[in-house]
Amino acid sequence: MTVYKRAMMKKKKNKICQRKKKKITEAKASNNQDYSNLPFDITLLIMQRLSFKDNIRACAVCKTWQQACVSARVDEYPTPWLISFPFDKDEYELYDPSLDKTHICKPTPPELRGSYIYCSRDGWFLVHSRNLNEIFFFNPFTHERIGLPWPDIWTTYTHALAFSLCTFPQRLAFQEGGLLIEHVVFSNGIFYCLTETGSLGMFDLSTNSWNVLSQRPPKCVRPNKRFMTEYKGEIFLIYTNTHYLQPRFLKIDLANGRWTDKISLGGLTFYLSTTSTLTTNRDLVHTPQRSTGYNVWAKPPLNASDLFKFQEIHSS
Amino acid sequence: MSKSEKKIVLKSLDNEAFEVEKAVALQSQTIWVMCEDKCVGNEIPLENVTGQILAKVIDYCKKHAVVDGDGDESSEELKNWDTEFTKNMDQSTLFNMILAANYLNIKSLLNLTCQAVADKTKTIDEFHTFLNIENNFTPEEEAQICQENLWAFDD
Repeated sequence: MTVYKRAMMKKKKNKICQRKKKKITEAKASNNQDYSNLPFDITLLIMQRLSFKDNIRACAVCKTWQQACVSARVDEYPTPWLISFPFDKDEYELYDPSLDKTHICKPTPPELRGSYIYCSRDGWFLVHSRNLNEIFFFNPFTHERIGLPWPDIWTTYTHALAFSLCTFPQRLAFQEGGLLIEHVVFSNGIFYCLTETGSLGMFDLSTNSWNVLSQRPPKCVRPNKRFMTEYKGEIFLIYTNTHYLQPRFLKIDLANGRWTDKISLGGLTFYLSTTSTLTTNRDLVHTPQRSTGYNVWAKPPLNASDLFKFQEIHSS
Repeated sequence: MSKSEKKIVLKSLDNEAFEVEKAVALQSQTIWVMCEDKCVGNEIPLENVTGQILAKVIDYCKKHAVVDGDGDESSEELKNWDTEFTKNMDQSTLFNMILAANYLNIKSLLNLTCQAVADKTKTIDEFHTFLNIENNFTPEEEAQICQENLWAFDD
């Protein structure tokens, strides 16, 4: 396989070199403008409009474009960090997979002590603290806390909560009683709620109405797990298993009201944990196995590395 | 306001003059600022845009000035018009349109033209030939980029 790929690469390389020569003669012949001379800001505008696959390809065009492609990618696809809470210690870990580095936050702030994290979105947790008997938003990177207008929502009733930060100016929480809900995912103005029985409810905020997908996905046999996640409006269901076999991927086909497994994942990377799933478009992430305590993925703020440098100096 | 005040003359790099409604020209933030500051008369020289490109920019602005006043119903039609507008542009025209949209600061036109470039180019071949970009990687560097992301270069 590798030998074959290498041979293919060589073939491509030759083709590219030939192209290069051909191109230069063409450029001399015509009086056309060179797109690599566009102002960098404009090149960036073009790159932001490419799909991820095209972005990767455009990297190989020339050095200026490579630079623009990488900037466009960093903005759009930062690697999530894994936040772990070991059961036996009064601390939590923030693991940055892109640098393979772990930061320890000690001691655990009272907001997170004995708390349950319901959701993680855009770097914020939706936390239910049993000690404080309150529900609030908490930022695990900066320790900022934002209260909810109804902090005692939990004492009424709910089985699932989800929130959105990016699409709506107001932070929004959502509740649904009755059925046991396994996963809630918010995407493109719609809350997708998967119940334990496998039916999928879709709540559209713009019309304030429910829709139910007619077809149910395959059953999940324990101890295997399934996760629901979204990327740019597409909803994925991922079945993992305990035998290190390939996970199974399904996607909603809304036009036909069913789940389909005929999908191409391109360069999507799924970050999965029981309390949060995040999907980004980048390759090469190695995640160590963490089994004690529970783990949540969170999108770090852009200055995360500075924040933690600062903390390390003070704690030592 | 007299009739002459509603019109404005835009003069291209190659001295071609275009008389347009003020409402049409003011879609350009650059022209809007010039008029606002009263630093120009009724004739505005645009030193970075050729007559051929300026004519196209004005076409775009005319279309959008009319439709914006009409309300939501025609937005679909406008979208189609936009697609047609960029569909048959060659790379050199598109290149100059991007520069003109940037210089005149017409956001929607800049978005449209950048999107057109993004849509038109899908393979490295096209990037090099259509956009006329010189490949300044060494073969080793280029091979490494491809090697790292083989899945993206598969077809």
